[in-house]
Amino acid sequence: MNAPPPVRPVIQMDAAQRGRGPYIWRFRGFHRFTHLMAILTFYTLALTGIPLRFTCAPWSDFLVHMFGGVERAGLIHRGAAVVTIAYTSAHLGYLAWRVIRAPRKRDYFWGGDSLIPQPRDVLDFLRQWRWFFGRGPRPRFLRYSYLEKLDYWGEAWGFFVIGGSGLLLWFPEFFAHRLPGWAFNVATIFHSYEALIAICFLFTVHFFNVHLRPDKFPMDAVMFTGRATLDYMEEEHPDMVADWEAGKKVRDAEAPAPGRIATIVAAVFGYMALGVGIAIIGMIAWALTC
Amino acid sequence: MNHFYSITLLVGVSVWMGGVIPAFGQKSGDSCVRCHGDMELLRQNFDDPAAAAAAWVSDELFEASSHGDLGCADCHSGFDQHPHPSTGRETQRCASCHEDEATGHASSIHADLELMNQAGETCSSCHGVHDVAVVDYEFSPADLDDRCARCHEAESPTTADRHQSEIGCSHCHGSHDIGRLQGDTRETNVRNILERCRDCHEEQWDAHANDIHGQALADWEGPTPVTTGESVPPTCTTCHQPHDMKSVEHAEFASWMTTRCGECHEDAAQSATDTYHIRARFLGSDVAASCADCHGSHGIFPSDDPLSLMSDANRLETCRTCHAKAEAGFELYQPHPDPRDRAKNPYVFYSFWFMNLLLAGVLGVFLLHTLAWWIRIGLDLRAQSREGGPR
Repeated sequence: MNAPPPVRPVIQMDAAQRGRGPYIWRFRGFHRFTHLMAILTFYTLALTGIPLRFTCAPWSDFLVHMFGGVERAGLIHRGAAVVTIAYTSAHLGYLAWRVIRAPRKRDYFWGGDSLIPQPRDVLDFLRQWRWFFGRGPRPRFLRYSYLEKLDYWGEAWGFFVIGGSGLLLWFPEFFAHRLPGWAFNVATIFHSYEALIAICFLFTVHFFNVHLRPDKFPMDAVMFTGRATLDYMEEEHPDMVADWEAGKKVRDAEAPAPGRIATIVAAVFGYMALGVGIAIIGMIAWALTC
Repeated sequence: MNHFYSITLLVGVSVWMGGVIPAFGQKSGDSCVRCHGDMELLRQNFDDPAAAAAAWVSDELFEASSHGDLGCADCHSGFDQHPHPSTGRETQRCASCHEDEATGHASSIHADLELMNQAGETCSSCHGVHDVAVVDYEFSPADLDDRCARCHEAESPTTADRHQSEIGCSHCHGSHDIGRLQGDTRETNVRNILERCRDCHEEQWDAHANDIHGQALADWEGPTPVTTGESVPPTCTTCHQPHDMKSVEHAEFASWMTTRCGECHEDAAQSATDTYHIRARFLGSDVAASCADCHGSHGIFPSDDPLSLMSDANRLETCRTCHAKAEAGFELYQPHPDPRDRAKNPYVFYSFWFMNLLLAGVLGVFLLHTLAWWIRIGLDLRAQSREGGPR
């Protein structure tokens, strides 16, 4: 029973590897692939688009030159948009395939394993605030907390708003057959503001909630390696673990510990992404002064 | 024998005289140059090396100059004996031949001793002394620019200036009667500078004369001389930066131009800057529309004028210069959206406020959420360390 605690470094690079094993599979290969594509395209779209939002900023010319001029930056931006549409379609297709093959389809639409927002999420949000003020215990999350659902649905909303308005602005002559001219003015506002919301949300709130909060610092690579320790799951998703232990649910498959190389690659990539994201927030703050 | 002596003396003196005196009146004084062309000799005779250099004349340069047919004495009279006095003789002024130019110069800014710090610019400042050249001969516009640039370095045309090396300073500013830019009735006053441009750009001049800017200029009763700082109706140089006159194809021209238009048309520039057109321009696009692409350049009319590119009848056609496949309805796009003006564009107004509220709402709630979380963890960690708990 009392096994000696594993020897581990003082600061573990990946928060999902802290504590006691065994490892549990949390995200499958396709999820991780989709998230990786989301990172790559989002950064590309943000860096190629943001000079237009903050034309007055001293860094806008530099950024545009880095991409080889404003026309080239536009091409890269639209290329990344096409990739985004492609992997989002693949994600929807994958989801449909999984739902069709699932023995209990209801689990995809309701309950602890579903990403659909439910009354419990509102309660968890309120409980979280109560906990912040020291008026109650920390809420116990299921597989997805309201924050993860917010990330997911935030991206879905952003995809349709930014993607839709972006297509309008990409093909104005085609869309002007059906839409009045002012639709392009509205699309410009939606596109730039929604992108700004997405950038500011992801690079502050998402970064803090997932990576930078003191109990997870410096980062959580579960979305890169796909696996986390049981300790981590008990900390972050305790009610899911409780369901396993009560036998209400089959425990997710056990996973081998992530390899050393994979951990280092995930950490280096993750730190770089964190750095660039925080730099973009700094650039926006800088641009607000002009 | 006496005769022989006399004749020999006469011939000898004549030969000597023939070498010195007659030559003084001849083409490029050989005899003057015998001394004044010999730098070694001059150095031995002058205490000051600078004075020796000043007295030196290059025979070759002088012969090649436009005064090459003249003799020394045509300008330097009173030096016809040797040894000649070093000072006290008047040098002939250029005015003795070039009367009109001298009169012009006398009225010019270069002759204004008070303004020129008592020095004044003389003929030789621009034309040189013994190497004097004829304008349009070896004295090319570039040569002239170089000479002007000695004092007017700040006003020298940039390398991006299209006129550089093609027309000289004097084409626009005049030469001998050169005036002040904010001057009086001289060549460079606001109306006259238009005429200088017209010499080459007749077509643009005609178009401008009839458009709204040209009309404003025609109706303008501005004082002459023009005082600095007073708003002047736009002329050529209002939009085409003098001394940095970039080609309209130059990458920076359109964005600079947009800023220029915005100096008078503030609201229009501000609202257009909220669109892709102008922002892409500012970032160096050479295809995104700038002011002139929609409004025209030398033929600008208010949009209720049928001649305007932005008139109801012409607007779609103007859009089509870039958006070739645009069809009716396309021109309802508002290229100058003002999100604060509900009456003018309500949809822009409402979407602007919706997105601003969404931005403030989402970030407000979740940044507070983040901050509160951070504080909570901090408090918990402090409590743990006080109790000497884990970690």
